[in-house]
Amino acid sequence: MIPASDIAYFAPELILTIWAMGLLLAEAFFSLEPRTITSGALAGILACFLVTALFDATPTLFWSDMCKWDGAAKFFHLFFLAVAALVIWMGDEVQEPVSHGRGEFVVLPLFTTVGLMLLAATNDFMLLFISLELATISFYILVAYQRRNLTALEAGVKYLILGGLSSAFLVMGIAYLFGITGSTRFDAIFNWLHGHHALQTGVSFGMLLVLTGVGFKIATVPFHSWAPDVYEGAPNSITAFLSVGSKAGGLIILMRLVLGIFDTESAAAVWIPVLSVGAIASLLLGNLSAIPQRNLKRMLGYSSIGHTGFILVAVIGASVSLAASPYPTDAATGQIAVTVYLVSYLLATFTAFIVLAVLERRLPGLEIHHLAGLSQRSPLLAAAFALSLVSLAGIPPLSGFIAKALVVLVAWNRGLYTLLFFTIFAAVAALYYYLGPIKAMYWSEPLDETPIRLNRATSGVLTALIVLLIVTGFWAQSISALVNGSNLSPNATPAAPVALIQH
Amino acid sequence: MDQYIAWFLLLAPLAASVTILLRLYSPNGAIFASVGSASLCFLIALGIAWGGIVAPTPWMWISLPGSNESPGLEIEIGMIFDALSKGMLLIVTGVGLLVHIFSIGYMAQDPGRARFFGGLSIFMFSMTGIVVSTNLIEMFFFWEGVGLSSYLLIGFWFTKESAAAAANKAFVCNRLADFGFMIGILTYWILMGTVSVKPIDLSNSYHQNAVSLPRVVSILTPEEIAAHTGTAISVRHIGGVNLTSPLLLTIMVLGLFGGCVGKSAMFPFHVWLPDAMEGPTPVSALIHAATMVAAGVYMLCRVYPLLLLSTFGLEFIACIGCFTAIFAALIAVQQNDIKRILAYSTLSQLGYMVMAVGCGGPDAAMFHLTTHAFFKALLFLAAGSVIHALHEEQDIWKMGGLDKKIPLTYWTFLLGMLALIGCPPFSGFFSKDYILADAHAFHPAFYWVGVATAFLTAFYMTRLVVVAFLGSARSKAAEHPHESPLVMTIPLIILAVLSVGSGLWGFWSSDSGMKNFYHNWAINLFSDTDPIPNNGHFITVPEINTGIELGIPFAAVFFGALLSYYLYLDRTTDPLHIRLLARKFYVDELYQRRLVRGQQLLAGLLNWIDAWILDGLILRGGAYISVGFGEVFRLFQTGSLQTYAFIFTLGGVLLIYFTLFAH
Repeated sequence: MIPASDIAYFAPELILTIWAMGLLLAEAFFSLEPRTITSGALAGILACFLVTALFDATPTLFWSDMCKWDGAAKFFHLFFLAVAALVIWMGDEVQEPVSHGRGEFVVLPLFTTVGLMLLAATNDFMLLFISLELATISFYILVAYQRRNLTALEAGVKYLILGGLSSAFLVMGIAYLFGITGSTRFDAIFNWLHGHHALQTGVSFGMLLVLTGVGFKIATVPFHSWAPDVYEGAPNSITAFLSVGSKAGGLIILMRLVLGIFDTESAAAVWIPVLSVGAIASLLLGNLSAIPQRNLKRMLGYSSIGHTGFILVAVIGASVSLAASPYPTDAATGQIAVTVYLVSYLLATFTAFIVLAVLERRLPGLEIHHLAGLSQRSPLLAAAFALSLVSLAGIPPLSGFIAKALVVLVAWNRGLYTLLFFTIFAAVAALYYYLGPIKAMYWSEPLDETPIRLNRATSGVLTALIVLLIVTGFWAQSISALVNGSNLSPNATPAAPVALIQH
Repeated sequence: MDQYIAWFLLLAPLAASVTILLRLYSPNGAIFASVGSASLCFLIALGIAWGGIVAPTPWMWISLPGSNESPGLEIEIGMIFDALSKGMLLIVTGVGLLVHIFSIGYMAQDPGRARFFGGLSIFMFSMTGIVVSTNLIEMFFFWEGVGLSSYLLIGFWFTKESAAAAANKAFVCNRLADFGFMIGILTYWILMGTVSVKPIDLSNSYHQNAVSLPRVVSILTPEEIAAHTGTAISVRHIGGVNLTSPLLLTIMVLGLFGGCVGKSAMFPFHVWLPDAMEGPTPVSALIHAATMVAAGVYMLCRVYPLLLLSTFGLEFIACIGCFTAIFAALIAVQQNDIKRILAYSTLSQLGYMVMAVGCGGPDAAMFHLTTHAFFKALLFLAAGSVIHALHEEQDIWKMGGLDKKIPLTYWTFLLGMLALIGCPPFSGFFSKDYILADAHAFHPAFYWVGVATAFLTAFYMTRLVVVAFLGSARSKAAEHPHESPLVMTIPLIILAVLSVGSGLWGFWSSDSGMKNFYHNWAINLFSDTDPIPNNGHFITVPEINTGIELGIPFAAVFFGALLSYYLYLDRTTDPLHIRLLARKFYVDELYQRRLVRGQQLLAGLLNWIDAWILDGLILRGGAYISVGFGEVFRLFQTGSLQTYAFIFTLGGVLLIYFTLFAH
């Protein structure tokens, strides 16, 4: 029997699941307009968001200790809900070329979100696996939604098979860990590891297999090869969902694993080098491969691999068992850096993909030279796209700058000088391809002079995103305050960062 | 609610400039938006001056904790309303508003007037930002903003080649000098662990570091300083670098002064200001005479307690100011373009102000800055009115006989000129003599150069008035000028009243007077902490003994004007030919020959490095490598699912192999 208080912590997931089923049924019986369903879905998300915001972030275990509510869970719940709202709005408003089953196209992301939210609160490998599959399976459908389109179909199949492969690694890893430690619960495994000073090979083996599975979700090198193809084939809103939501889902698991379970000295000696290599490889490959790309979605796909690298640096910096750290108390800043980076990445990525979606409605397969003279055709689109790229490149005073600066600061403070070098190198190399489209939009003559009219909602959302990009750049405290669940007032004295994930 | 009003000081012109430059309005709508935002700024500035509007709570932009090893960094975006910024705000927004209004008439026929007003609004945004900044990083942001607006407005008629070149010159000069400013800011941060310029922080910084430093710069160890002064000072080290060395303090002061050298066009960076006269005349009045070029002086006054930490730095500042004052005045004697004469006179007056700061009189500098803002804006706007009347004629030898035909312009110009040369009881008389008194207390040499400059100022300004306005018309255009419309003449009249009265009011009325206002501010810089260590001057309080010290400058002005009047009355050509002065001491040629050539050589070299090494080897090479990388990579990125699955598995296997079994 589940105690009543446990149900309360499940409220976000429950509300959203029931709401999504209700919407599906309503659509089946009353054949609602897609627009009505969208509004309904958005209303559900809003309700869920408000409920989640009400919870405080005190760490609590619930549901027979299978779940854990804490600062990270709260932040990622809110984050995924925001992502879902943007995805669903984009899917309807920007009129993706999805000709059939529009109702389901709107409702499916709700189920994905439930899966992702469960992931954020998981404290057990069983629940982790199930919620991960819930999220992933709905992604398979969404990626291949335009099933008469060959590229989309190909993307769907690739994602499905490689996803299956990664799940196999994950399950195998879980089995090893369970076999040796005798538990699937995170806190139990952590305690077991603390009790055994020497790390058994079997545990490392299991850990590496699990990390391989997670590496697929966050698209880190060498488990990234699906990303460019799938990003190109999926509808724009789903590409944005993958590159923000799915990546954040992978990251919260990664943080729960390496910062929650494996943050002991002996285990960290294994995973820190592995993640460092992954981070450096992602930074280099992501950013360098993006340079020759002409197709904008592929370029953003590679750049998202590069961003994984930046975030991984912060994740490594958040480990408390880093050797030779001059600032042993600064581990929490690494976690703050991850969240700040994710928020800024969310804002910039969605801005970029909304612009792409608007443009691709006219011209699928958009390449950089198609952007020529966009500033004359639609100043708002050009400004939004330019600002999102500038923010992704990390130029002050936009929010991407604060995010990158925090990562650099974390690397510096924790003595990760090799990673610091590659971080800075990658940030500079990235300027090269981020500035190309801006040059095309502002300094090239348009090929086609017809002005692009935006409807009111699109202009409104784009403007709001631009404002947020700028405001969060000037007021980075707002994000970290959100994360700490503390006073949001700009005058509040900055509290010492509180670790989101604690033992 | 009250605390939010002040933000509109920045938001109103920002919103106006953004909306104008996005072309959301018709040209007349743009004028309305821009003038409206300027009026709002002025009203808010009035509210601030009367104390009704309080400083808003600052936004903390970046806040990083420090440690023993490294200084923390706190950058906030806030506002500081003390006597200094209140006064400066009134000048900036007041003169700004008048120039906005004048421009409505002046730019009425220009097709690009929306862009012009957009530029003015960027300027108002940035300039008010500089004035209210609470820290040097925030100030630097706005500092670059005024640089940008100045660039845009100098090059407003960008199809004219000289205007475009002048805009570039101004921008490059300012960028070079700003590099020094940046070094100054960074040194300040490293030394004090803060970038704040709030009076309390500055005075703390001052007291932390104030020891009686030797007059000659040398690197002393803290022990030596302690032996010298008898006070132990706390020493901070970063990586073995002693942070409390006089050398670093001097670098800080000189760096900060570097910012002033660029913006306020001190020698040897003065070359951009005369060329900046290619911009529309209202811009010359507002930006290149009254406010922006004074930003350097304002910044020096703002960080004045820091300047005191380096005696050498202060003396250097005084010398550069003094030299610029007489140097520019000499050049002005032989110029023929009405705006260029005024530009060199601006340089000369800025030299006075900088000299005053260096001589320990920031109050005197601000007093002169205020009066100068009024009369120089007046002179420029009146000159604009003349140019407007004569259909863009700027050569004073093609004018003449204007006093009867455009009397309002003539009389307001005359009042401005009398204020500038320091004729009692006009405003310039009081502020200039206050500076000269400070200079005398510092070192008599500065006083005598100042007097010589006053003589020259009287000489060339009288020449300007006599040649341009008196006598008989010497060109077609000068025979039939037309007086400017009311929207242009009303600002002239208001500025004339201010030019005449501000000095008298500033000097006489006891506590509210301008001189006392700034004087009290300067004294108060230190009052909220412990007593000042007695290490020489910190604020010069001159003894104004009415006798010979005041008499000499007055005599110099009188004879300068008299000499010029008799020399130039009814002349058709210039009786004086001093090539050296007419060619501006060949500074431009020197720069052209030595610096620009050398720079071109350097640029050629850098271009070669850029083309072959950076672009060729690293970028192209990098691109080739990355393309090659991409090609290799493409072998794997086949699109073939089997390959992907293989890579994926191989990756996992290699990971496990290298981690677990390769030892």
